[in-house]
Amino acid sequence: MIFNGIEINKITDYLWEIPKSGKMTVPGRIYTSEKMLEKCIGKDESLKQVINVAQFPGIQKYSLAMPDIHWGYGFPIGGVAATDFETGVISPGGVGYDINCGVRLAKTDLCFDQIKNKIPDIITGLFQSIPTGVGASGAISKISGKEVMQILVKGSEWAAEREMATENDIEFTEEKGCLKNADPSFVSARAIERGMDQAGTLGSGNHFLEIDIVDEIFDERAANVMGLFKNQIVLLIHTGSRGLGYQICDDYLRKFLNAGNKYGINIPDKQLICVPVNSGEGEAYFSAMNCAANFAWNNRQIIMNLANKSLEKTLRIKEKDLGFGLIYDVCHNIAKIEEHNIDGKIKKVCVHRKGATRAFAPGSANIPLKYKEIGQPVLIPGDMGRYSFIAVGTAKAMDETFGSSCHGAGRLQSRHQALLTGKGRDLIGDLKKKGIEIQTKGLKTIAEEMPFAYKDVSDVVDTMHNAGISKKVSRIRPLGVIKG
Amino acid sequence: MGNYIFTDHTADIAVEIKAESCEGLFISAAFAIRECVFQKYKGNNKSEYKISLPADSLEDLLINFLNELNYFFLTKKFIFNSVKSLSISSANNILKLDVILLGEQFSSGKHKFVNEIKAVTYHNAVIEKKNNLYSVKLVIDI
Repeated sequence: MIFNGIEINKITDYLWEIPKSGKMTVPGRIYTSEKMLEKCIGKDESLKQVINVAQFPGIQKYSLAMPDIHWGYGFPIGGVAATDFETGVISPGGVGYDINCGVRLAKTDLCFDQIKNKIPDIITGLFQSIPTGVGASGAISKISGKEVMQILVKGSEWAAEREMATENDIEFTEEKGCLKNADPSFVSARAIERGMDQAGTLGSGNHFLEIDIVDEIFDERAANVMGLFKNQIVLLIHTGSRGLGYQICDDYLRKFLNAGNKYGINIPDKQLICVPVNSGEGEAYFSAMNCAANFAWNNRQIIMNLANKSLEKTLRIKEKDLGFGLIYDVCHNIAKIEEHNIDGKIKKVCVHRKGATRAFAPGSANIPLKYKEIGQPVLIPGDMGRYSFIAVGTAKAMDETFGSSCHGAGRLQSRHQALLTGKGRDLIGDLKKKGIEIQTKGLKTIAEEMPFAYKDVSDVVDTMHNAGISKKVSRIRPLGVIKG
Repeated sequence: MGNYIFTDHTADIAVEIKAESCEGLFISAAFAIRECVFQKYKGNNKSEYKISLPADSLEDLLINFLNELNYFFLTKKFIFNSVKSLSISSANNILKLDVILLGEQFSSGKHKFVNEIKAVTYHNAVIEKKNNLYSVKLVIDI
């Protein structure tokens, strides 16, 4: 079939391939249904971006795209690319500006019936406790540059030292909330300045904090292990490394503008600028990126701690009765050095996940002991009017996608289109009718983020489930949202 | 305030900018970025900020300039009202941009942030000159 001038062949009902041609060194592979391919994926520039990534020096097996793929800048959003550690490249654009943008799911021991009349109060409390919106600041007292550097090295451990994280929180955060090889000397003074008043802030755009109800269990065993049960109240947080991460990405893109000439790398889009992983420049970016990832984990940890306190205060409930605790925290914008089986040999690779979630199989190293038998939890937020999903990684993901799965619904409409669609409608009223409370800094954000602006995340999640890459465990539905 | 139009992009914001000179293109782009962050802005020329940047190409110079402005908006909380001067020079194959901005400090009672720009990207950014008209299309990550 031809989409947007690009030949794409069906491999299975849920997997399609762009054959190697021109400067591609590997084929492109897209996990999607035919319906999604026809309705949205085949219509924008994202397939072309899959082809561009397939030209990365040292890319292994395939330039991959998850079913939430959409048109990004450089890399498609929903893209995965693994490059050889010895001969391949690392690309700041392949991680994106919001380094370690990610999702955190926390549980409570509460059932819906216990709080059904208190949702507006809960949302008001959370909105007052957690800074949201553009340039949001002041969640905790402004910290010095020296303290920011401590966060960059320690990640969530920084919060633990200040009684804002428990051992359980650290255990259930990807990489235990701290990547090694994070040297702040590779981070600019400007990036540190941007981080000084943003620890514990949600930000704007598609970032949010939600109170959800568990409304469907697909896999009882995995749900039991995670501590999920029907009608349970849980909390979902989506944010990243804020201005500090944006600045690190921008700093290194600027530094690498001429690296193509130095290393003889010819890439079709400047936003895909890359340097050898195994070079001074590559090591410097990797170290700075790890610093931003650590900042992001600490950020989500502080937000979770603020949310915990807010819930206790609003509900006038004791800590033991609330039963608040982390189920898991995943990042979906990152480059990681991992070992994967490439054509029968274990190889060290740099896995770029740009809008994609790690989805390690049962038994994998680097996942909490508690989840060894079920696989790593994969958190897939949808839109604020419908639902989000919890899944687990599989052995097939290790074989086919370098242990990766989807990260969200993916936009269907541009922000401008969404504003036009929402014009004249009572959007807050529409959400209220569905039983969803919302508090936000601006009405514009609500219109831009309404459900009609997004694909139905169940189509995305079902594609990965049916393809055997990540298996559905539970569906959660929003009761209240705070946004920037 | 400049000749630019915001266009559709699925995940981000795209803007097309046109001007009769290269310097004019940079100035129009600066106003486009300000509109993106603050939408409506009515301000004054209370204080002055200077920006001086080198780059190897006009595109890099433009994008670096716009990201510098974004840093001023979000971190220094400085909003420019007008561009006092802007010049582009060249020496030893390196381009240099010198800008003096006039504006004021952000005040939450008076001003309102509308969008948080993560960065202006290099994605497909090419400055074209046709019939004495300069143009560029930029993708902004928000």
